[in-house]
Amino acid sequence: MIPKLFRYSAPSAFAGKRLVVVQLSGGNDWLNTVVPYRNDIYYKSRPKLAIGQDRVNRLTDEIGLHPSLSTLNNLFDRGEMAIFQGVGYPEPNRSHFRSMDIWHTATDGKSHSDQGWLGKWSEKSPEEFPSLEINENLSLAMKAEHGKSLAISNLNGIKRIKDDRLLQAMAHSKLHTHDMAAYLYQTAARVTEGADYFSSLIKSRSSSVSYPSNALSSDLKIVANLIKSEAETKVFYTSISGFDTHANQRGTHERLLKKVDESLWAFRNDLKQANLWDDTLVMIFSEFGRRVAQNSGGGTDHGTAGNLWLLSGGLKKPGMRGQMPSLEKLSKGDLVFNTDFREIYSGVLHHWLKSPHSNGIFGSDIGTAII
Amino acid sequence: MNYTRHIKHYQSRFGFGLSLKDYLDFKESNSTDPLTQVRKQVAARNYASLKISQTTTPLQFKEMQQMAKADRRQMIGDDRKIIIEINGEWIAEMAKTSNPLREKMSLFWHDHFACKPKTSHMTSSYLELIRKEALGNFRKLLHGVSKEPAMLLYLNNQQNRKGRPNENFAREVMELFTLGIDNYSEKDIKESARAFTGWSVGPDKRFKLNQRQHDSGSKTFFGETKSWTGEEVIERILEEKSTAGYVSRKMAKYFLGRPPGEELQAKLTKVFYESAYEIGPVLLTIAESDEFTSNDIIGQDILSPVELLVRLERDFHVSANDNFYRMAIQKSLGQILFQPPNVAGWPSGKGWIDASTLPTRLSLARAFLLRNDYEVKTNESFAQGEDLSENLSRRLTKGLRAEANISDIERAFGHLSYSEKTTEMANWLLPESILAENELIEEIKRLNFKGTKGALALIASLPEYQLK
Repeated sequence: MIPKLFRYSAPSAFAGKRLVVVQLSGGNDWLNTVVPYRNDIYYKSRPKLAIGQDRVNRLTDEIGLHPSLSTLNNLFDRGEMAIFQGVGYPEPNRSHFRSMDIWHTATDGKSHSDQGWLGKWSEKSPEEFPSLEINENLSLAMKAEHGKSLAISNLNGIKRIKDDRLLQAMAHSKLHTHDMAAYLYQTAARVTEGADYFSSLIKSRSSSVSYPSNALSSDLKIVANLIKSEAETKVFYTSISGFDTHANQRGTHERLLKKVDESLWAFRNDLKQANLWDDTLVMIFSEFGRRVAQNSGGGTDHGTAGNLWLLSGGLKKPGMRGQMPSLEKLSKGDLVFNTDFREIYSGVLHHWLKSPHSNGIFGSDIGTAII
Repeated sequence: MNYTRHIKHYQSRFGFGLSLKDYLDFKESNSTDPLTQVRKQVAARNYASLKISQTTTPLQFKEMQQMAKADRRQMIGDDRKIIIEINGEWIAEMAKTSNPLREKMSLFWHDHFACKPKTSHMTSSYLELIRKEALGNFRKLLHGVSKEPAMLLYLNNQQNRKGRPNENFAREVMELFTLGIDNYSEKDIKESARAFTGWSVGPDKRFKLNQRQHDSGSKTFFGETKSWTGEEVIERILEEKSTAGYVSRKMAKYFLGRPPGEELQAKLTKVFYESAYEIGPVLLTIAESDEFTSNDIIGQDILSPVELLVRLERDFHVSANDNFYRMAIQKSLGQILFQPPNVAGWPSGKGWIDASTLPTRLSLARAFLLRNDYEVKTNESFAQGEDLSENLSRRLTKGLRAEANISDIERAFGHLSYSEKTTEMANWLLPESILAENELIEEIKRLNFKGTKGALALIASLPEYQLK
């Protein structure tokens, strides 16, 4: 018999903090998301795409949010949002895959790894409980050789696994010596035990908060359900794609940001009502920002530095963080970063999840941002 | 050396596994050299396009703009259904072809030159180029694919114009199709993007060099300054040995399930480069290598979703009244043909397996053989078009029906005792003989898998059936 990976017992009153990642896949155009609305260069570089001064949701005298982000604007005003600007890493890579790998593995951009920062964290953390990604596949960020992460696409998936008797039998069969077969048997075991755990928690409670109907909202709703059910899982992962706006960006970007805005607002209200918002941290990132100048197709090409957002009722230092990179001093047409994303990761693990191991993951020369 | 084990290994890596007929034949004669088959298939020149490919016609977007909105939607919806038909016909071809290596390599090139064609005509044009040249010459293939409308549009080269270059196409050509990352500079990308300006799609929906958009000025590429054209850039890239290295390494990884060792890699690079990018010699070098038949390779890779689907169809003669079941399976296992997740193509090996795909994989044989309802996820659209996804969602929530016909298996093994049956089926279908001390079998037997169908469902539901 293989050892039980997770306990099946009824949930205890879980008092810790949780992290919910929202990944914007494709490279979000941060310049049109957090707009430097007093900057002439911004308007000159984007004659077709720039967001007019009168349309932004003003955060400061310089910076405003895209008009689609009206509820996030509200969160910012309440001190429930931190906007890190100029976030990136040295020698930026403009390939989606490579740059996303760098964000997922938190490596320095020169070395490669098949283990993610949250996967490594879960490997080192004493908790027995699986991290959960609401997705059809597990992201690299959540992977580790002996990690405890699961990917489940929806609630039906959990039930189906729980009711599959053949799968349950396989999960309890002896370990095989044949490597790849053993991997499949172990995975089956991990899956059934994870499904048993989560299905024991999920309640068909109707949330009094209504979520908009889009994929990100459905995913966040599952996360909220589990958090309210006192799942001991500390890390949840979700994503929304479509941000690779090379052509005809305006409408597409508007719709995407609207989805993000509405979904996060519903999620926040759901947890706020349950008194759990102060202990939940939402982290929003993308693999890169986009080029300062628009291209000829009404879109923008792959760029470098961007933003990272944190949302929570329990932020120590909300508001604008880091500096807006200069639009004058570009490197190859792109913004130059001033905050290494790994400092924020490190802060999240150290200050939020109270993990003593964060240095082992990022290297000792990486600072730790206050969260 | 276990002879059947070897035969199965070659057939599952250079094809889609051992068919029942081949299994019985090999058992009888025990003589054919497994390499002979690979050599024959590498040399085969019998390419024929899929029937459906010959019937697709381009969508005329300009004219369609004059149409009423409902008519236009109808037309686009109909065209997307044809893409599903092409998908299905290709799967069917993989299951029945006498030259599986051609289809296997076509799958490789579809992953290598990952692309989501927008229309049925672009799909068939792109697919047939790849199928035709699958075992031929990489140089020809590269030039061809770079001019396929599907690829030009997928990589935004319509927006790549003189004075306003869009670098996406140039970047992916070098990073993913040829040199591999780190073998070129950012400057090479910026400059070569200018060489590809004006590469676009004409009114006949074929490649067209738009002279007015083409930047014929001087560019510095790989240290040489001249008025580079797109074709010259591709030729120059092929002169780099790292292109031969990068592409042959990827081929070797496809067949071995892991990167080749240094010695084999050096051989492959040399063979590929010196044969002026002939694909056959690379495949033979891999097949003949000691590495290929080593114990840490055999049975140590995981079937891709499409391979699994092809096997299920071929082994159990699955039939359904339309192609939607094929789409549903591809969707739920994470690999829809003509819809790679991104420019880098699909995952491989362990990357196919996670908490949601593994249970689905293990339930498919039972769904087909024992008619268990097979539920698929419908939370995302299959194709870009809304029409299609709604249509599919409705069908899928009603349940998916596809049935197996196992009369040939019944003929071959029906007369045997239950435990002899399971042994024979395991010998035929699984990469390793695992039955001897498998307590799992005993446990599963209690789940009541009766008769030949039950025995087959049992064997094909084991995780080992997912391996090659």
